[in-house]
Amino acid sequence: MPGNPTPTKLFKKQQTTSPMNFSLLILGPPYSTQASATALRFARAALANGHSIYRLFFYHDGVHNASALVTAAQDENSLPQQWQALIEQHHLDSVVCIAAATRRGVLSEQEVKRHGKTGGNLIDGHELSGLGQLVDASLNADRVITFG
Amino acid sequence: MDKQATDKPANKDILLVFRHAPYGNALAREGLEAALACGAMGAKTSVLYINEGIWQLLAPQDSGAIDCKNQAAMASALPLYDVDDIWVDEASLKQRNLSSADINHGKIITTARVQELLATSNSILSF
Amino acid sequence: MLLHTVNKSAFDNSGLGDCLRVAAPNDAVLLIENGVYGALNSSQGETAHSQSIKQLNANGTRFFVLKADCEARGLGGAALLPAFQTTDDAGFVALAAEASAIQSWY
Repeated sequence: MPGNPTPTKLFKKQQTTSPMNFSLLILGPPYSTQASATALRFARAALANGHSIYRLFFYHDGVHNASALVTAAQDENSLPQQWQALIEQHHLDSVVCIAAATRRGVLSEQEVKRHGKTGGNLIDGHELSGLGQLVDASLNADRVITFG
Repeated sequence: MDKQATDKPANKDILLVFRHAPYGNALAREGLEAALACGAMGAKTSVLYINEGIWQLLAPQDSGAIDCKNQAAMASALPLYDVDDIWVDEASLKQRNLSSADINHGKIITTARVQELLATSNSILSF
Repeated sequence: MLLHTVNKSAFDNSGLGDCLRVAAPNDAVLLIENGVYGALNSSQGETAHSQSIKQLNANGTRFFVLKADCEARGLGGAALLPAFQTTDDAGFVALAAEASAIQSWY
């Protein structure tokens, strides 16, 4: 890399921010792009630093983070499992947009029956619901942040 | 899941920023559906078309041959859901050799006004 | 004060340029994921965005890169544009908390 760099200043939180309640809008799928992994790290850091999470809303390709059939290789981590663990550990409210999920093949047992198919794959801990939950998540959290 | 409504200021609003062209991927469509949901729920909702999002405003669109839902037709429902604050970034139009004559809805605004819009929003959903 | 996140490389995507056009003096811009490439300083001269960054920074806009994404991409010891500070996940959260809202450019 060019030159002998002046050490880049490291920005550390200077003062304690008052606790914030975050909603996260997650639009990226596991594996294919980095968005969901970044969102997970943000969520963990928020919780570790005294903030709370109002809701996780999985939309667009983000719905695949709630699929139980996503299976990571032995030497890799599974984002869906990591999200599930975080949700369970912190009792987070996680909503997956039902329309976006259905058209991408992420369905609960109930939805599977309703559409006359077999093989529900929605991971426990997520609720399938409508965009109204995203609206609520945006209005009632202190901050909403999109990971796309 | 039941959420306790927190003690939030009544003037909280939602700004949806549309930066992607229609049809090439689902962001334009799903962003618009989110905007319609915001309007339907009675939230004070604004939409900003900027960068490649500008292309969503060309009309008429005939999406039959590519078997996609018509983005322009869906967008015409925004006022029906009380989403009347529809903003269009002037610089993005110019960059694409478009003018007000080419687009079918929205109020064209300058960069300064875009900055003001972003600066005064409580919640931004980025599509 | 708005927080902007940019996650695409400035060399193949207009996201950073689009962001810089609307970034305001008291805003913060955080480069994440492939966006970190936009922070690189080059001995070969200015890029399309480095001038904008310098100017915005002179007017008060703050610029950050996410450390984990730099390190992953082999940029841990790289020379960054003078405007940039490195931050971590906790810093990312702090910026989001400080901001009035967050716009994600992707």
